Amino acid sequence: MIDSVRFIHAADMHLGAPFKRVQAADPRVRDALLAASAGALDRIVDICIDRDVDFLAIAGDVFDSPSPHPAAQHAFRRAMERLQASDIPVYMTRGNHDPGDGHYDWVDLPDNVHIFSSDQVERVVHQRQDRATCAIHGWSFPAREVLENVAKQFERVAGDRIAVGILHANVGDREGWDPYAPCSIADLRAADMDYWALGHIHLPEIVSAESPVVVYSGSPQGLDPGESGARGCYLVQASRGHATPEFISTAPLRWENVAIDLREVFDTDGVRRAIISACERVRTDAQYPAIVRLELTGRTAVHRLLGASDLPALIEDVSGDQMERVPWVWIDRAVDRTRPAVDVDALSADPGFIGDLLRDAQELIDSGEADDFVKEALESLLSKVPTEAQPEIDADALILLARDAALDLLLQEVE
Amino acid sequence: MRIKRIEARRFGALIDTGLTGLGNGLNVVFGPNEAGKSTYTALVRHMLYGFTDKRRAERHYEPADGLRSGLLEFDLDGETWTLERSDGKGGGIAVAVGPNGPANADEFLARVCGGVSDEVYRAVFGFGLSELSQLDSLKSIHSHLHATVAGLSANPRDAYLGLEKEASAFYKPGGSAQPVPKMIRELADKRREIRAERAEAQGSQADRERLRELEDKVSLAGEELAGSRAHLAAIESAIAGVAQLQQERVELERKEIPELQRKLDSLLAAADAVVVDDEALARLDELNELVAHLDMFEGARTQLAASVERLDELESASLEAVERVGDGWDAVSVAAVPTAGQVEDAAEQCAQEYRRALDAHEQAEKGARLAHDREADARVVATTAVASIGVQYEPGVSAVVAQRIEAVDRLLAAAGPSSRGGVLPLVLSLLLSLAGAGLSSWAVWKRDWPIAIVGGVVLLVALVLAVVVVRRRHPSDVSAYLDILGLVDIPSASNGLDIKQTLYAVRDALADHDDVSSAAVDVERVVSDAAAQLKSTETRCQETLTALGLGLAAGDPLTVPSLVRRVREAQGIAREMDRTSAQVTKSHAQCKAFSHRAVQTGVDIVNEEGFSEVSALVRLAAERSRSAAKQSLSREDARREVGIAEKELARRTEHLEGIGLRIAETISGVNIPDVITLADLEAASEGSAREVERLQETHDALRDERSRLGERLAAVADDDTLARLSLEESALVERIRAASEQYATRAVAARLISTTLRRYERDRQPAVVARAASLFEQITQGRYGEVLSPLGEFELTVRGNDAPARGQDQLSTATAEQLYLTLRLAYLESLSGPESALPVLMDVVLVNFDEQRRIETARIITEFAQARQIILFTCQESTLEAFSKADPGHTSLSLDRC
Repeated sequence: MIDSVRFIHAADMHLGAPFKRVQAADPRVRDALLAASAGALDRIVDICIDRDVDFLAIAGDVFDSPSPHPAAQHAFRRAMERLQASDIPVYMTRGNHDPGDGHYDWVDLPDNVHIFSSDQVERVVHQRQDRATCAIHGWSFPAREVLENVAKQFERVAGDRIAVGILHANVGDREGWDPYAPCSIADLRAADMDYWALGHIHLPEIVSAESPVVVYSGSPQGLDPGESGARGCYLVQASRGHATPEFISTAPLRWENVAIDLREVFDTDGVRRAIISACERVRTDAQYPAIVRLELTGRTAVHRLLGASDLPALIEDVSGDQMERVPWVWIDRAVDRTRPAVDVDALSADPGFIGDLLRDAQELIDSGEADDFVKEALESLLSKVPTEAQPEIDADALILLARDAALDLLLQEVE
Repeated sequence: MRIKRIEARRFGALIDTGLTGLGNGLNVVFGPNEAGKSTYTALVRHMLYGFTDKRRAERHYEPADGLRSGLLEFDLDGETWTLERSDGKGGGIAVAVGPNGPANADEFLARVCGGVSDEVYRAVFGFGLSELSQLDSLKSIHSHLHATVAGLSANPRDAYLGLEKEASAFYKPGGSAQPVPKMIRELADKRREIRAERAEAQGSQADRERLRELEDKVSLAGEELAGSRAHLAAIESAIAGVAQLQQERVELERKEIPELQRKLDSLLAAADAVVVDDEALARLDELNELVAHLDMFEGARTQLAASVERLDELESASLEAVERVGDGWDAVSVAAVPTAGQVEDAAEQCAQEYRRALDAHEQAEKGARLAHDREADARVVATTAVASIGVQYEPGVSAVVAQRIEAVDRLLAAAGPSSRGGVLPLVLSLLLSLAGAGLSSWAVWKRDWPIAIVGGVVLLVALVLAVVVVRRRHPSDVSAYLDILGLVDIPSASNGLDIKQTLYAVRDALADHDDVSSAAVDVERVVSDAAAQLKSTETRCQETLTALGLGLAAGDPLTVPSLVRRVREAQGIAREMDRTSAQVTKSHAQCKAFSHRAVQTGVDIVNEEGFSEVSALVRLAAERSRSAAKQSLSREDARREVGIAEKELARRTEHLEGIGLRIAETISGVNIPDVITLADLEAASEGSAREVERLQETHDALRDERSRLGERLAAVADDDTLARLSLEESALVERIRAASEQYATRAVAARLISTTLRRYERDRQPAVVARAASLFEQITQGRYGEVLSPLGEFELTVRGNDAPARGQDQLSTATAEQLYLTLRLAYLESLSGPESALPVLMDVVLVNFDEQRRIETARIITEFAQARQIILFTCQESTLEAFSKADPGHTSLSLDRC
């Protein structure tokens, strides 16, 4: 009798979610983005079939919305039907994005898909012929906002040979993520599961490698530039008191944020070479098509050149070349965070206008008036631009950027 | 820094003239009108900043002929430098020459001007009356001046405006054509599209629900339709069944049953009509047996008659066959004729014997010819051999040759000892020759020519000795042999041995000829025997063939073909005779058998009397009896058919009686209340058909709607329009954000510069203005003691101690010029960088001042000249005097009218 189970743990597919923070000016990039989420799901299904897993565990947020578009539902149904054809069951919970009070009846899911109850923690005994028996405990979000600690309701049943918990929750009160179904590692340990398949946090992470193994599988496909790096699912081999998660990349499209230090660059050609080099590194590391955000940094002699020259044109030119390579790399945006190659501290001591300017800028930051200053400067803009399209304003940083921009102009002939 | 000399080579009205002897501090240059004061002021500026482009709307100081050119000589930190400039592109060609020779003109000018721009220079460092009254020019350089103070060459106000301009490339308050507002509008449009698409998706949800509802309805309608169709089918089936039953009943009542009745009656009548002769029927078997005997008897008779007739035919055929054999032949003799096989065997045997004899004879003849040929060849050889020794060929020549051989042997035996005794000398001579050859070779190799000659002589002697020995072995005189032998010359013989060999050859040739001749005789004998055998065989064959009747005709030679031909003929004849003989024999036997039976039968027939009459009676009785039997069978058949017809009639009648019940059952089977007749049923059918039609229409309509909905929903499921629109929305949002960030940086930077500039002007300008106020108060002798500049503005207000405040526009021209001069001087005083050393040129700026104010101004300028070189042009004696009073030590120069 086999005493372990092998399954795939995935979560946070967010099918139907629009990709954010991307310009995707190239149609190839747009097409790749449109196919990416479904592609990642298909990849998960491929892995399930290729690895002959016992089941697929999905820890919530399959859909991005409680009323997902029919196309998203169809994509999920087709994937589940492929698993059904391979006799692989699916155990899934609903997350805060696709809670139980949503509308998912556009398509009918096949019989191999079990969706855990929203009423209480449900236990399902998974059993396949000639395979180990495994008890799977799961719970679905009944509505978008659940602030109670649901993990405490999980409890291993005596006699469970192997117990797996599936939960969409914020473990450890992580910042930047909705505090839904909050719980702690201690709560999870108390349930005496062998493996916790978690969802909600999009960054893949083995929260606890000790029994019980607690894992956030992360999103199979990064949804915006913030979700950079490898994304995928975990192939888990679980037995009583032991589980081994193995990360498998599934994202057909990678997001990458790359900082390029231009301290040692002195002309535009150098900037071009540095950008191309960064793209090559991304290509080598990612092995998949990648959308890149560049941040040009450092006190550099080209700071004024970057401000004066047409940086977007340079980026477009380089990106056009990079798109012809395999896999392609698309530079979606390049942010100039370089600083002029001047001694700001020394200039601040100058009694003249430059000194006044630098001191004024620092005074704004030190006095806490930078925010008001910036808001007043941008009042008209902020009143017109929709909130979601407004720049992320860090007033202090913006003051420094503005200060550097002013220095560029004021010092340009001296340089 | 000091300008030592200004040389105007060609500049305006100044041609090859100059201003030399300029000293440190104050220089007052007096010149009447048209002396070139303003031109010198302009020349210095052009020398420093380049000749003006002719496209600029200002005075260019073009000379009457030739190109503009000039020279400045500087004292720079104790070093003398010259700057030459000649007209050309880009402000002309500047050449700087220092103490170490030519230097980079641009670097020199940067050093001299200290970052002061042309505009600033015009406003502060080289101005005339016209520039003095232009407050705007002072306003415009306001920021430049402060920038210069901070080591800047860029105008903060320009930087501010530049940033504003750059920011407005993304967004402009109140603007609508910039990228940000345009993208905001695009975003709004995109969101409208998305809302519409979502609404459509929501509509799809409703469609989905409607589809499910339709699925149920279609299913229900389908079931109803199927039920109605089944009901209709049942009714129609019942109607058809009833109609068929009714038709069947009519058929039975009107046709089948009456016909069956009539048939029954007919069969009964036919059965009754059959009459049977029972007596004849009773003797049927007996009569049939009798008839059978009669038939056998009549058959025997017929066979007898045929046998007799056949006998006759056979006898005729036998006779005919015998006749065909030949005259005198009869059956016995024919039977005695040898068979074809016998003839054939005999003929074949003859042919084989003859062929063997013939072959033997031919072989013998062939051997004889060969023997004759060989004998002829041997004779020729023997004849030639004999002739070679000069003897004629004739019988007994062999003995002659033998005698000669014996004679030669004897001669050779006699010469034997001398020949054998020569061996040792021959060996010695050979050894000696080898020794000679070796000696001579060794000597030649050693180049010992005398010894070589000796060796050669030895060799020669040895060879001669060998020849002599050899020649002594056989007699050399062949002719002596021939004479002794009585032979003719033998050309090939050189000694006795050769002669002996020749004689041996002759002897052998003669012996060969004798052997061959003897063989030829033997062969002739064999040929003769073979010919005799052939002849004997031929004779025997002729006899055999003749005995077989196959003798050859006269003149027909016996040959194998003729024999074969005869054998073939004999075979044909023999086969014919065989057939004839067999036929005759068979016919004869048959004749004998038939004759015997015919005789026996004829006796039996002859013994039965009245056979024919009895036979006729018996046959008649038998016929009657068989007729009775047939009648009997017919009667039984008729009775059987009657029985069948009666049963069929009963079955049909019973069927007819059941039809009514079945009709009733069929009608009641459809289970429709109050429907009891076919008409009722037909009416119900019509109603049911209408219901089916109605349900079909409903079902079809529902299915069509379901199909349309299904197609629409399938299209929605595969439609990525919303995803694309959402992506485009995200892209727009991101582009707006990016543009907004670009705008934000620039807008905040502009605001930062603006703020600092405002504060800077507020904090720093009062010092400049305060100094200007002090100077102004001094010039106006306390009339105006205060100069005010509102925050952020370059509007000046003056106020005296006891006078109301006045705006600059409210001042007199001269007072305003005094105010503006004090402002410039205050600015100059505030300078602390390298530009502060730049010489200042003032052109008749005091011309409108009254005397007192001119004197005060002269004092002030004299004080300023302590820190820098000031070159002041004037055309007024009073001004000259004022400066003389203020600074008696100043450099005073004069210009003549051009």
